[in-house]
Amino acid sequence: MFEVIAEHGQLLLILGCIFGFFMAWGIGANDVANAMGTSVGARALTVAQAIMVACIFEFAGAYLAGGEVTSTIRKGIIDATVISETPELLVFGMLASLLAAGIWLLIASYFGWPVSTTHSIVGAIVGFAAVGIGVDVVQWPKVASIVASWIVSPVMAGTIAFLLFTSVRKLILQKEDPFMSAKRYVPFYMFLAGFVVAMVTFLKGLKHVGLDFTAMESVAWALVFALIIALLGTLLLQRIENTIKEKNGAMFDGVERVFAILMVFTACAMAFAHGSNDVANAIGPLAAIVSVVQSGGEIAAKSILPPWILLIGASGIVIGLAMLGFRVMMTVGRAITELTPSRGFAAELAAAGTVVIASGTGLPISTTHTLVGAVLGVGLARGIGAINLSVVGKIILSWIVTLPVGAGLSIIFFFALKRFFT
Amino acid sequence: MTNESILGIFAKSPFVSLQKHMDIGKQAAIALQNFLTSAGVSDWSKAKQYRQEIIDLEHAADDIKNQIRTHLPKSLFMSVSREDLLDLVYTMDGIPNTAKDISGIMIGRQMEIPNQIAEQFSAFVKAAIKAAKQASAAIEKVDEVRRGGFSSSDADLLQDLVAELELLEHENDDLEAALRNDFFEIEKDFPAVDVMFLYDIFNRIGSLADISQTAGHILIRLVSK
Repeated sequence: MFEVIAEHGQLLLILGCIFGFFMAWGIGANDVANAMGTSVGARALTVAQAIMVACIFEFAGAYLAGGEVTSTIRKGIIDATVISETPELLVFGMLASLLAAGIWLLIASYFGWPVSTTHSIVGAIVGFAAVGIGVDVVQWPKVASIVASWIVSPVMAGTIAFLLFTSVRKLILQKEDPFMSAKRYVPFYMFLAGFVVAMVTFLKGLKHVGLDFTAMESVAWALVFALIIALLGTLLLQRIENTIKEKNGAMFDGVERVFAILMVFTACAMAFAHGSNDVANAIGPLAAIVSVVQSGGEIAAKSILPPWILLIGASGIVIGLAMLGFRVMMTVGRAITELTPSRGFAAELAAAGTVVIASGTGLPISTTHTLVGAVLGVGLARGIGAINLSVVGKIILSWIVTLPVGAGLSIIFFFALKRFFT
Repeated sequence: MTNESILGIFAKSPFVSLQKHMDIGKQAAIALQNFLTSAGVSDWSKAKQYRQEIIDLEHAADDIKNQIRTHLPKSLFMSVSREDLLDLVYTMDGIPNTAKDISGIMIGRQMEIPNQIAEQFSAFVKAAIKAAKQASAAIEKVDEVRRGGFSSSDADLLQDLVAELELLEHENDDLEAALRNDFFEIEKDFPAVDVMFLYDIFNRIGSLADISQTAGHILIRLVSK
């Protein structure tokens, strides 16, 4: 059946690029706004600044640390050896998955359901593979570990956020002079943010750029990087005075303005983390299609991710963010009145850390769900005035609904594509 | 596209409304003091103005109270207990309500405060109003405590404020007892119905301090969750 690929290769490739771009666009419109919204809500960044940070760090995250998750999406869920005789099925399936997840995201965004891009794409891939090809094609142990990580990651982020905010209370807020304590301890949090991001990047990310470090070297370089970040932060903090000033439409005292600087750093980490994990949802399937088509039907076990695929993913995200996500951030970010930087940073750092670690392990998790877990963690530490648990309920519900819907849609598209091309 | 997203988990905190409600209670207490001063010298036209002010404030307080209640669904997860918060609002709502009742009764009956007890009466009123203001100050402090992450030093400060509030309430009780005693001596000289209503007014003014004290206790409970 290799002739299908030889005959329609070009068309399949173009379709793949369009669907992949569409999916990335959906991620940009929906997901990125959620990930960056906390920074805007806490008035640490303006909407324009948040978009700028997202553009740079989403791309950096995808490029430097996105390799593991991309490879999981691309070949971790499906056992490619089983379908080496019928590679076109993989192409149809990945096309169907991109289309299914993209459309589901669009519908969900329209109705305002908080669905996860990760859950959509994983549900779609498992769906077409299990029903369209055969149950034994799916690597169930891997799928089970992914699903488990969807439960573990919000819990883990919540725990870290709880501990982070508790440490802020003990070390800074409850001290005689919170302002001086903030200036003293905030660089440590910056160090922490820098270290986690750098560690995962050095350990897992730079291989495909051509740099390979041992574990010890990675730790050393990550420490150096984190130190530079902390020093840079300390310099920035020196300019802050202990007076009440207006910032992005909210009045903040000196302590919160110190945390607002910290939150710029955690926002970058958040965008990086999101890029490292969620961009793979769009480019993973695309990468699978490209590698099959370009090798003329061979399902290559090992192949380098072409940079232009990444570019499609990154530009799709940026355009989606600029077209729709920007508006979500404007309206939702502005509506958050009670989140201050001293709370927001704890949630962001906990979520970003968890996501980056998952990215290093190759686990596709939902950034936004992880962030929700982190926010709840800060809430449990009595950090946030009021949290709407009904929204949490909706998130869990859409979590459950997304899997069968994503699977169902991708099964339909899979059979349609198969029929159309053969 | 709707505006809902996962960021909807950040609910509107009730603390802003609580502060507003508090502020209105304080204004109502001050308006009542002005009303009683005017009524004390039988300046009924001025008293009527203050009465109107109290009525407006009472309506505004009711609006905020309802707003807090409707925006406080059970699904809201807060840094303080929902029950305590509602208790606090309902308790403090008693201040504008009581102010309205007192001014209503006094204006309706054109009540005069007997000269013999005028001085004590105004001292009694002053003490009650002071307690109400103290309660407002304590509630204002809660927001600070919350922003500081419910630290123990902040909670101690609040405890001090509430201890002071208790002293004010005791002082007010003593003044009320003395006032009743003195009025008892001369009550035979006045029409019985007027006497009855005057005692009722004493009672209501005294309840302002009681309400303030109760609010203070709820406040401590609220912070030390």
